[in-house]
Amino acid sequence: MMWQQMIDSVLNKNSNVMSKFISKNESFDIKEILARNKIVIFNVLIAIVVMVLLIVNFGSSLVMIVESNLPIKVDYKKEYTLDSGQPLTGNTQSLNRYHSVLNSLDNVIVDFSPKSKLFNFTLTDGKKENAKKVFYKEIDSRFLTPLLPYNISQEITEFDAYNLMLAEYARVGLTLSYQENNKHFGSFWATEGVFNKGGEYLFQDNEILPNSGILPTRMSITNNCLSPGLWEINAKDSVGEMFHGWVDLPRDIYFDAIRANNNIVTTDWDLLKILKYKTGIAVLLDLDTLRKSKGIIQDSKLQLADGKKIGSYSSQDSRRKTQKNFFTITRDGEEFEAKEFSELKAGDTFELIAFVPPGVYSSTKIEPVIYDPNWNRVTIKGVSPLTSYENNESKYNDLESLELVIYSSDESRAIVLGNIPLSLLVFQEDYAIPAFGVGVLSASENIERRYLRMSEGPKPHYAYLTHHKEGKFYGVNNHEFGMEQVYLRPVERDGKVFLRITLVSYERITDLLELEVALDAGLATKIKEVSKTYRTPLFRGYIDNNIL
Amino acid sequence: MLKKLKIPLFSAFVILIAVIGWFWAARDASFEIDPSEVPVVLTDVQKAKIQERCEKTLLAGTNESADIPLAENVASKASGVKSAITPFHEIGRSLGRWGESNQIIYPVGVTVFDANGDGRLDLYMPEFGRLIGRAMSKEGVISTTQPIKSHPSTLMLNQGNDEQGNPVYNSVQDLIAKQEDFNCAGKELAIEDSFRPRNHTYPVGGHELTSRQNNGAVAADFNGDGKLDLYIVNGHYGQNAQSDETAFRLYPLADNIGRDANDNEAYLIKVPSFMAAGEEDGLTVTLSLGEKEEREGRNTLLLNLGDLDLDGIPEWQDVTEAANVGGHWDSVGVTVADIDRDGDIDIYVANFLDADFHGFSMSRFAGNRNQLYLNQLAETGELTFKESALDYGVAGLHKEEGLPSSVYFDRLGGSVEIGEQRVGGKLVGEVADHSWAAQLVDWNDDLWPDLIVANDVGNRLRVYKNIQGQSFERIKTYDEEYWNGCWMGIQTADLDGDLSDEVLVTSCGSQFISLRYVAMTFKQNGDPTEALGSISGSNAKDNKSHLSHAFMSFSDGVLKEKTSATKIEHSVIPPDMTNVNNVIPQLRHVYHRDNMGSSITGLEFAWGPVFFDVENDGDLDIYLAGALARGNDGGAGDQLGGPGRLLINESVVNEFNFRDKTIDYRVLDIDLMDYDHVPPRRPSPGTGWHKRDYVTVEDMDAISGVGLYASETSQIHDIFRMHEAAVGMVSADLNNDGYADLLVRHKAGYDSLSPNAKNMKIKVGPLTMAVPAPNKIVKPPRSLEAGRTFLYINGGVADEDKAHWVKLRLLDIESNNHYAVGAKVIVNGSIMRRYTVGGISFSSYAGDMLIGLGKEPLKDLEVVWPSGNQKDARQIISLESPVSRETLCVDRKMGVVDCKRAHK
Repeated sequence: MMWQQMIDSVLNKNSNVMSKFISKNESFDIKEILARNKIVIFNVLIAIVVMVLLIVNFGSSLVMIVESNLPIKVDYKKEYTLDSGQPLTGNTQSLNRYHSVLNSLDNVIVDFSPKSKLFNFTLTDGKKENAKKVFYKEIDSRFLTPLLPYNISQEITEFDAYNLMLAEYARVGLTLSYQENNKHFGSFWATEGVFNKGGEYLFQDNEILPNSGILPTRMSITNNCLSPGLWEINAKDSVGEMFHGWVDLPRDIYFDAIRANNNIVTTDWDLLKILKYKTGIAVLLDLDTLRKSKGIIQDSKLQLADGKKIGSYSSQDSRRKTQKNFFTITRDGEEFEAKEFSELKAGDTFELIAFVPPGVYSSTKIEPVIYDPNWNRVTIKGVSPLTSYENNESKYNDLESLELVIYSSDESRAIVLGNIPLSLLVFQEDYAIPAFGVGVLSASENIERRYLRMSEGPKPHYAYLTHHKEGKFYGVNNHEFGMEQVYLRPVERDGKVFLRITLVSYERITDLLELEVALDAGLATKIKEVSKTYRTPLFRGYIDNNIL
Repeated sequence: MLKKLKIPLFSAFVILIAVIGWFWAARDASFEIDPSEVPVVLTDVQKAKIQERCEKTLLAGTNESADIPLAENVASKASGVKSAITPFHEIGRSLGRWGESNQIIYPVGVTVFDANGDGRLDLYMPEFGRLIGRAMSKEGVISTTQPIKSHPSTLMLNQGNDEQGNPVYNSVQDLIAKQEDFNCAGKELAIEDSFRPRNHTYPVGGHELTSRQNNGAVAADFNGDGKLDLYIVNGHYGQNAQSDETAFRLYPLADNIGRDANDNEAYLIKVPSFMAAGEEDGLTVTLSLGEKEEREGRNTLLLNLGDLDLDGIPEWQDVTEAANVGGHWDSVGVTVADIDRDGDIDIYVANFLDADFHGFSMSRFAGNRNQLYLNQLAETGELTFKESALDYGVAGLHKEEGLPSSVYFDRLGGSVEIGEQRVGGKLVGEVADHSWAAQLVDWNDDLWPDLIVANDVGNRLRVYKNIQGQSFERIKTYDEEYWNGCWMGIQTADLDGDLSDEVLVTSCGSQFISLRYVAMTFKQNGDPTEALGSISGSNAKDNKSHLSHAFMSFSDGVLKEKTSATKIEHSVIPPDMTNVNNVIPQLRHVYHRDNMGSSITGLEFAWGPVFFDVENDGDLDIYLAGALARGNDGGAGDQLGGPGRLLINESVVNEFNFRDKTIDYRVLDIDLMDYDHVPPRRPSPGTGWHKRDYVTVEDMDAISGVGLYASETSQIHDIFRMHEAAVGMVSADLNNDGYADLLVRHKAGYDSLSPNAKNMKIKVGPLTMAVPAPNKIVKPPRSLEAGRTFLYINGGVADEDKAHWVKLRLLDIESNNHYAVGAKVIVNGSIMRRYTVGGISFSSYAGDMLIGLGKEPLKDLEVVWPSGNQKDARQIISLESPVSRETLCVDRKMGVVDCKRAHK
């Protein structure tokens, strides 16, 4: 099915798509209901009893009723493996994987304070005495949970709900450095004896052997993109992954964090509904809540980037996935060999290895994404951001910010990208939009960079895949169309400045399409000027590995 | 019945609904994805295909799928770099397997000369016979037992040009393997410098014998028979930074966000344990793999016997022992000239120190005496040498020669003796200089070849004046602590057209004051570690060391330093250290004092250097490259390495101006560059690179991981981390078209930057897993990749009227310095050139002098002959008709002669 057909299908079969997000509050007389429904109430009570029995039997699988402060099991054996026994993963696997002491810490206790908005995680081996413990200390929950980084009204709108859902199904992760304390952001720490300070491998009898107690260079926590509450814990040494576990976060904690971080009042039920993965939606974008428009600067044709290689990647760090051939291309159902995008035609399919519950790559399932090169016009508008991570002092938006609307050939579809700070559109580095939605954070980032990004970085940008009709944009679920990220990069050629727009696939596996627009002299000059004085911002360049 | 059952039925119905509801809720609660999102379920055949694809790629890597553009193909396309320049094109892959070095630790050089007298330039590529490191499978799995197989030292014979005008080389080994008889094969294969010479190449291409540790060589006619012989310098087996004592020390940082600094305990940075070699003392080791036992580090003199069996391959005879030129030190550099003008060629050997005991990270650093072998051929008629370094005052022995042997330690308020070095209580070398290179060159123009010796940190640059061929006088200026540098290679020539010499000595380059380097080697209190490497960097602030390259000009009877007065017009990729924000604040005055933004002082680490006239416009240009390892290794490759710099000479008398044209000429020391792309780029490495799929010359980053200040202020080019580990390099007209080509050799390493690079792997049970880094600083080991030779062919110039050239062959057949090594020539009264052999790190050229003439053909010529009576040394020749684009043979007695009749 072509992209356009999919959009049409979405719109036609969902005349009242908004109801998928918000439950309606209705008034009712409780006495009257009780009087009229004795039998029904009796039966409801029976049902409750049955459910309690079921919960007793299968309680551990019911994430929604797991209480806070009780240990949750960490599952660390979920990856699919190939016949060789190799795990199927996009991460490099260190020789310390499966040997780390962390594998014995299979319980995690989570607590969250709505007041401080901080998470604490304690991994433990479950022993009562001399327990080994690893602490994730004082992690700012805003760094990991879906956010509405703009002024919201008391009642959640459909647009807000849509933004929360997009953020929920983006992978958002953090990596932590080993520090006992940090005044500004979280870190990980361990009780004595858990880790040693030896080399990352042992060399004995001419053999290179794992060091099971090696201190990770980084540990991470990730809000998985597949379902609300499913999170991942990971540890890395210098070469790659040395531990990976999956944990179901208690729903009350997770939802409390979302409510606290967005200052919203919702029931768990409503929040659950809001965060539920929805297909076939089209939500009217309320862009005026995200930016103040200053008018169109440029309206130009787009062209496909020349010579773009199949399997290329932008700054999403997808080298391993393309190396391991996490995708193939098919035409009319048959595998199709192509080296450059110029060899593809509309309707060819990227068959990507699927990412499936609980957050692993499947050795048996694929996710098809249809190649669609039919985007040929862009408007560029000047905007003033109204979004914020509480970083109102950001210097990066001192210059103009831009909104790009990329239209399909028939203009029935559009990709809306906004609050892009001109000061960061430079020849030297990609400008990354790591996920669709507003201010959605990246799949993996060092906590010190996230701290800097959210305290002094640019105002949150936004990106939406939309249906366009009569000048209005209706946001759809980008995941349905296999589109996950956008990268922007000016390039200079033959004296002209082009803005290169790269669309990145599902699971950030590979670039799907690259478009270019020649910028008018005004913008081109500004970009040249900005590039001359550009210096990699701290939120992109600073790292504290705590080893020096 | 139904009525009776109404309530129970209804109850059951409710229960059913409740159960369904629960499942619905549980489905939601367990957060499984929507059924519409369940990915397509494949058939078994499709599953198998995916499985096969994954297995194949996970285990076998990506070799088959990678699409690596060959540089020569890229170069043949229309230029994306807008320029009138005809760029070089790189054809190094045509050299085949013997053009690749497997050497990881030690330098690999190259010697260019006509070995078989066919008029074409051949290549001698020295290699080490005993390698350190383990073999790696194609899948990247390192062996627990199998060592890396060494290559033999190889003579590549020039077979003439192909249809595209590129030289075609074939190794002696491969040529012999194709022959039906092996009559002279033993003598032909002596060139491999194996302990036990072999008599044939069976099994074909194999090399089962252990070679000496060949570092470099010079070609010269030592016995005066008209054929170019080879003198090969050999080193010691060893590995640095193996023990706590010799390990590098790095320090925790102070300025990170939100936390106090760690304690100030140093991290010890050692080599990977699987690369350890044991601390065997090369000075005392004897080896018994030869015809008779010999001391490690014995150099080799191979006499060229000519082509006895007329198969195009020269035969050789090892006369080392008889000629008394063996030695037993860690020899790395060699230069030759007729020091006493007696008509034969003498040899000066530069010795370093067994790598096991390198003292860069210590406060002591010993060395080994250098040798001066005076040829006795003229005196006795026999090819024997007399070792006379100490007698001539050029052995580099500190006590015996009264050499300064100290380094300034600010913290101690004075200088400290550093020459005597003990490791594990053992004296590991002599109280002597540790030298990388030396050049015999008449820099003061008094007709006696003088000497410059490049020593590493702890030692000064040594500059000597030849006193009538009887001794050398050390120039005391260089005894100052200021001249304590990490001197690498030397070249001397007239660069400003004033008919007198300039000297360029390469060094560690500008990185020694970088935020990155200094942040790691200085303690939190600002003190450098006591390691000589960092002390020397620190001392630059008080002019008590000199770690940038040095540029001197001869005038008023002395060499005057002009380093910071040179001017470089940088390209779009200026060295990172030309940006003052990349300099540690405490040393910023050094940046300004030394004019790092626009002079030679801002350039990166280099071996070499190479002087050659790229466009035959009559002035010599400069090529600089070099590294201790490939870039992006987080260690030595990033600190001490450069991307290659071609500096086009735009000097006028006494004003030394250069323009960086490295990109225009396409000679970055970076593999797989696509210069046609805008901007020029190369594919990203297959591992250890977390950015996009190509690295362009525009991509920038900040220095990460060494504190907040560095990240906040620095700005560095990504492309600079893509450099290869250049070591040996030389320029010569390899395709005989009148334009100087360029050849650069590289080291191997577990540091591949190829798009096919993988992490080093080991087997852990049934799994293949990646090996982490050996310490907290360097990056994890990557694929073992050989050091490919880059062979850049000069594309010439479009307007040949501005690029006249001549090749000059000087013949002094009355002497044994047959080809006039050390001669000076002045052409058309304005262009001065010297025929020197040696000085470039590990590499040398011997052959016709290619002289670019610019707009005018050769009309007149002055030759100053290097041997014999000084009064008769000067010869002036006016040509009857101008000469251009040909070889001119000048006989000392007969003047211009027919080159075909000129051979002895």
